[in-house]
Amino acid sequence: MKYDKISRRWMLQGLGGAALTLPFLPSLIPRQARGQSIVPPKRFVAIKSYSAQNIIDWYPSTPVPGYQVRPADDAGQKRDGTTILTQRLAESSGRHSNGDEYFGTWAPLRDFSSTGISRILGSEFNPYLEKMLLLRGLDFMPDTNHNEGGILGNYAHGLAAQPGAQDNPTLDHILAHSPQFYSGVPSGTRILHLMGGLASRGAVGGSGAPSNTFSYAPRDLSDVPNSSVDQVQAHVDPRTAFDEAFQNFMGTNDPPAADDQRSRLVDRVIEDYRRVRDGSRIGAEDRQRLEQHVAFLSELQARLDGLGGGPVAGCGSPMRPSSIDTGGEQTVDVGTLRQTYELLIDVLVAAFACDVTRIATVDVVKAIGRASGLEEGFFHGCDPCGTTGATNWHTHAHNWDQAGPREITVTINEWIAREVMLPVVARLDALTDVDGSTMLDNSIVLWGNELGMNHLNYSIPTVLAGSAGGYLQAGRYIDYIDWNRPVRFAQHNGMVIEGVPYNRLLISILQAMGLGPEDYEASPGAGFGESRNLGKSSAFATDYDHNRIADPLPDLRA
Amino acid sequence: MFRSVKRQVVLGSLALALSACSGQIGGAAGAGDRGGNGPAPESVFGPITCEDPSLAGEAPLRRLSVQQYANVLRDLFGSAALDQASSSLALLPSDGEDEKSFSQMDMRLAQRHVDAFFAVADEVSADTVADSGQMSSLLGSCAGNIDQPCFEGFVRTFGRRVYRRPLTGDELNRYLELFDAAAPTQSVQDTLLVMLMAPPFLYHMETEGSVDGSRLTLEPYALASRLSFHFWQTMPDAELFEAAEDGSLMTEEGYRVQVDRLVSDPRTQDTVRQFFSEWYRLGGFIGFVQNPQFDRFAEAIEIAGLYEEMVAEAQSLVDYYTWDVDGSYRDILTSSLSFARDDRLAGIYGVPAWDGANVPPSLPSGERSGLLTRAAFLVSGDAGTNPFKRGSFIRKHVLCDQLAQPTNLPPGSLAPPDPDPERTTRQRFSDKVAEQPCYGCHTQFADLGYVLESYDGLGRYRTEEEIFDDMGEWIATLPVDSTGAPRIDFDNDAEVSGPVEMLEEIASNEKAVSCFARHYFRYTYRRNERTSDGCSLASIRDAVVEGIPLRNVLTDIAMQPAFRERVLE
Repeated sequence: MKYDKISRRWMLQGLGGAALTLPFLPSLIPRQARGQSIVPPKRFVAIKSYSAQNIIDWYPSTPVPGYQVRPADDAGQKRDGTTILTQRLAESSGRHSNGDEYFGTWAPLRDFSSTGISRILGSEFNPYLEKMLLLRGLDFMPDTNHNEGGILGNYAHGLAAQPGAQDNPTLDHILAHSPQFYSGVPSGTRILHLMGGLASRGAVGGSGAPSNTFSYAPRDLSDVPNSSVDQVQAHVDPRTAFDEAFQNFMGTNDPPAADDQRSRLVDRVIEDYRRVRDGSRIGAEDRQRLEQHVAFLSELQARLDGLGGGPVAGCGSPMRPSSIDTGGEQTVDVGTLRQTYELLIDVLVAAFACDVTRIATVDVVKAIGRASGLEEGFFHGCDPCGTTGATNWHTHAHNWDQAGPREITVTINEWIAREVMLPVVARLDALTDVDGSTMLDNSIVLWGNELGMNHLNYSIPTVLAGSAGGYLQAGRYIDYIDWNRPVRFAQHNGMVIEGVPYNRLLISILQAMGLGPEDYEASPGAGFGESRNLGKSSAFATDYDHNRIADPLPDLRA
Repeated sequence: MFRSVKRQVVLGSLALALSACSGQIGGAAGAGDRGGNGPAPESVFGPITCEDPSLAGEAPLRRLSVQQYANVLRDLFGSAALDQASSSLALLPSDGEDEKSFSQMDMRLAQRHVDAFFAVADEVSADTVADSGQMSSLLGSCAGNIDQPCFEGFVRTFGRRVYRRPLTGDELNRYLELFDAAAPTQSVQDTLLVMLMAPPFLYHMETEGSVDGSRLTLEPYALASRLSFHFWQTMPDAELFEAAEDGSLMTEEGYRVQVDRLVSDPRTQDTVRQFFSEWYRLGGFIGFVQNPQFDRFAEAIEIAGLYEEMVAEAQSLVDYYTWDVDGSYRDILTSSLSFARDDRLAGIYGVPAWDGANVPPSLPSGERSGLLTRAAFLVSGDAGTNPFKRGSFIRKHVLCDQLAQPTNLPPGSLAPPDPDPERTTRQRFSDKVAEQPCYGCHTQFADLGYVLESYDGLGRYRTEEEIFDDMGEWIATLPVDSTGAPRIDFDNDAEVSGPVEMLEEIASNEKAVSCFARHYFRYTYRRNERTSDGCSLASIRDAVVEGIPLRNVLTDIAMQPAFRERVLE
C-alpha cells in the first residue's frame, strides 16, 4: 500500500460525506491486532422496558453479611430500604457547582448471591454475576417523562419532550454506521430491531405490521452524529425479523487462517474493485454490486488481519420461525406473548451466532406480569389519553400511590428479567466465540428503562451484561448517587438526588465498542446526546458536572 | 437436523404450490357458492410485442455462475487442478436456491461467495506454483528461471486468458509491481491469487465498445465471452480469442462462422439440456418413499437409479429433436417416441428399450404426448399422484400464467386429502377444494392436472386407479376420469378427452410458445424479460410458430442485435 491508511481514513472523515461512500476497510483500522491472535467482534443489544420503576426491587435491599440496609419506612428522604455501599470509586464523578467533588460507591455483585441481587434480578442471574454491571444513579439531563429514545441517547421524542432538545441518532445507529464497529457491511442488517407487539405510538399497518421503536436512524449517512433522524420500526413478527437478518445468509464457512501477506493481496484486490466501480460506464446498480463485493472483501480481510468475525460454532443452520400475529396494541394473550419473545430471542441469538448482524434492539412494549397471583399480559399503552384498563401497564404505573398496581409493575419487570434479559444473557454466554471466550464476554447487553421512580427520569435502573471483550470491569454494583447531597424530592419508594448524567453511560458503551469522540460527538467535547437540563426545575436535581459530560462513566473501565 | 435457510424457504413455497388455496383468490363468489369457474388470473407478463427493434437488451453486471466459474477454472488450470481444489470450490453456495427460473439467474453475492473465491484462488495459486508442469505451461521455457521479462510475459499471456481480454497498460503495470526478483515464484503465486479474485475474472465485464447514445456495441473480446458463456458456459477457446483479436468476429460473416462453430460443439448440447432440465424442473426429485403401500404399488420395480433413467430419457428426447432431427418445440411437447434405454422405464412405457442409435420405438398409440407425459415429469415418489402439483406447474411454467400465492390458508390446507376406498384421487382432490376460498383459484389449474390422471405416480399409463391401504393391501380399483376442461385459454371451457388431446392443444397455443420464448430469453440473458425486450422475445416466438427447427431457434438468439449490445445507464 502506498498511503497511510489511518491518516487517510481520518482525512476522509474530516472531509465529511466521503467516508460513507467508501467501504469500511478494516485496513483503515489501527492494526494493533494484525498478526496477533483473532480478536472477536463486539456486539450490542439494547432491551428497553417501560414506565415507572419501584427502585427497591431493582437494587439489593435484603440484608447480607457486611452490608447495612437503609430503613424503609416509606417516609421519603434517604430511607428507601436499599443496601448501603461503602467502597468508594477511585475516580470522581465530578464536582458540583459549589466545588465539592463527589464519588460513586460500589460492591461486588457476588456479595449478594445468597439472596439474589434483588427481587427483579433474582438468583437466576447468579451464574452471570461476574459478567454483569448493575448501575444506579444515572439521570437523564433534559426533562422527558415518557420518552422514546432516551435509553439510547435521543431525548427529543415522547410525551412532553422538551422543545429544542437535540434530536440525534440513537447509539445503535452510531455504532451501526461506524467503521470502528462494522469493518464491512453485515450480510443481514446493521441492526435487528425487535419488538414484542404493536405499540400505540405510530404503528404502521394492521396487526403484525412493524411498529415504531426506541431507535432513531440518521437520514444523512455522510455525517451521522449531526444527522436528522427517523424513528425506526421494529419487527413484531419473528418470521419477518428472521427474513431480514438472514436474507443473504448462505451457510457457514470456517474462517481462513490469519495471514498478513494475503491480507495485503486482498488490499490490492479491493483497489481493483474500486477502480472498476469508479469507471465511467458503471451504472448505479452495478456500482452498488461492486461496493457490496468490496464490503465482503473487507470482511474477509478483517479476518485475515485477525480482527475476528464470521459465524461461530453455534450458528448451524437456523430455522425460519413461524409467523406470529401478536394482535393489536391491546392484545395481550399470555401464550402468544411468551411465544413471541421466545422466537424473537431465538432470531436474535441466531443472528449474532451467524454474524448476520451485531446489533439488536428489543422493545418490551408488551410483557407478562401477575395480577391477583395470576399471569396476565400487559401492554404499555397511552394512558390517560384514551386507552385504559386492567391490562394497560401504564395505567398501573399511574396508580403509584397504591401498592397493588405498583406490585403489578414489579411483577412485569420480574418477568422481563427472567424471560427476556436472562435468556439473552444465558444464550450469548453459551456461544463460544472465535477466540474461545463467550459471545457474551465480547458483547454488551443493556437493559434500560425510560423512567426511574414514578414518572421521573432520575436514577434510571440500568443493567449491563458482558464486558465488550474485557473493556468494562464487570461483576459490580455501582451506585453513582451522591448520597452526601440533599434529597431534592422524595416519595414512597424513591427519591431524587444527583447522580451522574446518563449520557456518560452511553459514552462508555460507545468507547467500549471501539469508537472515539470523533465517531459520535456532534461537536467536539459535546459528549453524546442532549446534555442540557432542558425543562427541569432547579427544585429537582440539576447540579451535575457538565465539564465532564464528554467523559465515560467513572471507573467503569477495566 | 437443520437444513439451510434458503432451502427452507424454497421448500416452504413449494408446499404452497401444491395447494394454492387462497382466501383472496376467487373471492367474488360467496362461501359455499361455487359460482362456476373462478376468474381468469391476470397474465404475468402481458402479450409479447415488438415495438422498437433498436432497443438493445440491458446487461447488468453479473458474476460468473458457479457452473461457469468451475468451467473457467478447469479451462485455465486443467481438470486435475480443479479436482485438487474441489474442497474449496465446494464452499461456494449453490446457485438457484432463490427460486429464479434458472440457476444461472442467481445473482446473489454473499460473504460466503467472496470467502470461497478467496479460498479457491489461494489454493489454486499455491498448487500451481508447486507443480513444475503447470509452471512450464504458464511461463514457458523460463519457468525455471523467472526474471522480470519472464514474469511480464506470464502476466501478459495468462492475464489475457484470465481477464478474457488483453490487460490494459495500467493493469499490466500494477501486476508488475508484484514482482520480487528475490522471490519470483511467490510473485507468480501472488499474481495468480489476485487475478483469480479480480473483477474481470469473476464478473462479466461488458463496459467497453463503441457507444451510440445509450447503446454500447460490445468490443470483440466481450462479444467473444458472451458467445462462449452462452453456448458453452465457459470462457472463449483459442480460436474465439483469435477471432476477437483479428477482428473477424466483428464482421457478419466471421461472427456467423463462430456462432455455427460454437453451436456444433458438444458443450452446446450440454447447455441446451440444462436449459430444458431446469425449466421443467427435472432433477428436483427428492426420492421414493419406502413403505409397504409403495412396494405393492410399484410391483417390485427396482427403484435404485430409476429416476436418473427417467431424467436421461427426457434429456434424450430434447437431444433428439434438437440435434438428431430438425425437430421443433412442438415436437418436444407432442413426441410419441420413447427414448427409454433402461428396461424398467421402457417397461413403464410398455415399449422395448431404445438402443440409442436407431429410430426410437413408438409409444402405444394415444397414451403419451411429449415431455409432460414422461415419467421424469410425472413421478411422485409415492403411491399417489398430486394433480394440483402437475396442473399448477403447467399453468405457471409451461403457459407462463400467473397463480397468486395463497394466503390465509385454512388449517389443514396443505395436507393431502385422506385416502378413501370409494373415491379416486381426482375426486378426493376435487372435494378438498370444492368450496371457497379454495375453489376459485384451483379452477385455474386443477383440470390440467386431472387430465394427467391417466398416469400414476410412476408415470405408468392407466385407465383404472388401484387403491392400497398403508400395509399394501389392495382395497379397491376405481375408473380414472381423465377428461376435463383445461382452459388453456381462460375463455375456452371446451373439454378434452385425455392427455394427448390436451398436450396437442398446449403445443398449438400461443401462450406455450411465448412461454418458451420467455424462458429461453431468461436463460440467455440471466434475467427476467422487460417490456423493452419485446423484439427479442417476439423473434424467438415467431421462429417457433413458423416451425423453424429448434436448433436454429436456439442459435438465432445470438444473431439478434441485442445479443451484441448493451444499454448504458
